[in-house]
Amino acid sequence: MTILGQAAELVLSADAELIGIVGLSLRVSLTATLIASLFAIPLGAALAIWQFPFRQILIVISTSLMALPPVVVGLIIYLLLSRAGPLGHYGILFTPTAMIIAQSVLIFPIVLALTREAILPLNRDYKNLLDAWDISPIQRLKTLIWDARFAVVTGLLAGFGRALAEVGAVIIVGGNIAGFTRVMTTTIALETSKGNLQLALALGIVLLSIAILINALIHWIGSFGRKYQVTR
Amino acid sequence: MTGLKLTDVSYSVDGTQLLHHINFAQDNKGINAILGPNGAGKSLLLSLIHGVIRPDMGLVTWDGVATHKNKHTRGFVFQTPIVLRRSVRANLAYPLKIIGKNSSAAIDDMLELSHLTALADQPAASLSGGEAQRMAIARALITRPTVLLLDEPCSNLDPASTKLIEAMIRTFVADSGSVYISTHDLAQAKRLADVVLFIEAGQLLEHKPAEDFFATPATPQARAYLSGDL
Repeated sequence: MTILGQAAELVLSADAELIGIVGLSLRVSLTATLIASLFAIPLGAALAIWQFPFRQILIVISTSLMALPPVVVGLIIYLLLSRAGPLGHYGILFTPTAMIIAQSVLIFPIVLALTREAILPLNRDYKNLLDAWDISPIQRLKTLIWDARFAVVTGLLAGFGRALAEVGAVIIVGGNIAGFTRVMTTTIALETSKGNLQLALALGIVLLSIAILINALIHWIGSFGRKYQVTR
Repeated sequence: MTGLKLTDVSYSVDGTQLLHHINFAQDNKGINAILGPNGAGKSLLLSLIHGVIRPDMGLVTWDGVATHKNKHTRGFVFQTPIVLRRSVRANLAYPLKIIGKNSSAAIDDMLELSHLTALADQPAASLSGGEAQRMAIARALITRPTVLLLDEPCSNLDPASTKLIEAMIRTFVADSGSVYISTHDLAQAKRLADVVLFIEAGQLLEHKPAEDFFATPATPQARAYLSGDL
């Protein structure tokens, strides 16, 4: 049987090790996306809506953070969480929690920038109407985030995709411990180096399938959202 | 006093004065048409009297209260309808939500008034220009304001849409609402207006019953405007 055939068999037979790795990957990346979104969506919306001191500086910083090399993020978080680091007493280095923190940091600027991009034009469209009503800042924020929901969700999916495909940071802070912190990307890197191409390829197939699914979702949500946009 | 009062109101942008020392008082009743040529300051005056923008000088009050403090008592409709990215029904529900109410009966009434019942669950973005403007008026009326401010609501609309919108305005006034409408459609002003406010180059030149304004305009600018020379 070819390597591809063996890999396909691993996927189709729902191999326990493979399922464990995929499950952990999804759990870590989904949690990281959720945590990053909790902060990035309101802040991205606020940057789109209001003028305030240091706004431009915040925009430049957040945009620059999008290009953050994952290994640098991994290194910084490693230094923070290592025994000698300021957060070392929590003992979370080489745990899924550390991986979630690293991925949250990596996704945060992406979700923030995409949220801001989604809300900027909407705020221009809505500004006069919302100004004409007695509307509180919180109501304004909620209205714009809700009405930009299709684009915001697309941003979330992009962030989730980035988290899932990330390898540099999670291998540094997670340690790639079998059965504990081993996720799809780090396993692929390790198993390939060991010559165990069946498992690496099987995980590659799963990762690629998830990436295609995410892009299909982004496309579908985008086309659904366009029905609600005024084109006249 | 009840109603609208402007006391020595001026407004400028980047050093250019766009409205000059405007003074007038008007009771909350009937339809008040704000007339004037393009660029006279009609839309600006409407925004000022609603409290969307504040004057550089002077005071605007409604029922004795500074205008920006009681916006919820008025509805405002823009020349180009602003459509929320929601269904027609959700657009109408939105102002109710802001004030903490949820009345499907009120929404159904407004859908009926605006002849949009059949389109209630469609995305509002799919409406035609006339339908969108009717929805915008219904959305402004759903919180039961006492005053409706309309900024050229029928520009670029066909006669059938204009007729439906005028019917909505008349229904509101019949229910003891008061309307301020800016328009450059003289025929519409003649059909609807009880009082005319004529402005030109940012100055209020005439404020009188519509019948008098159209029969005997007092200023050369108003005469030129009515004869199509301004």
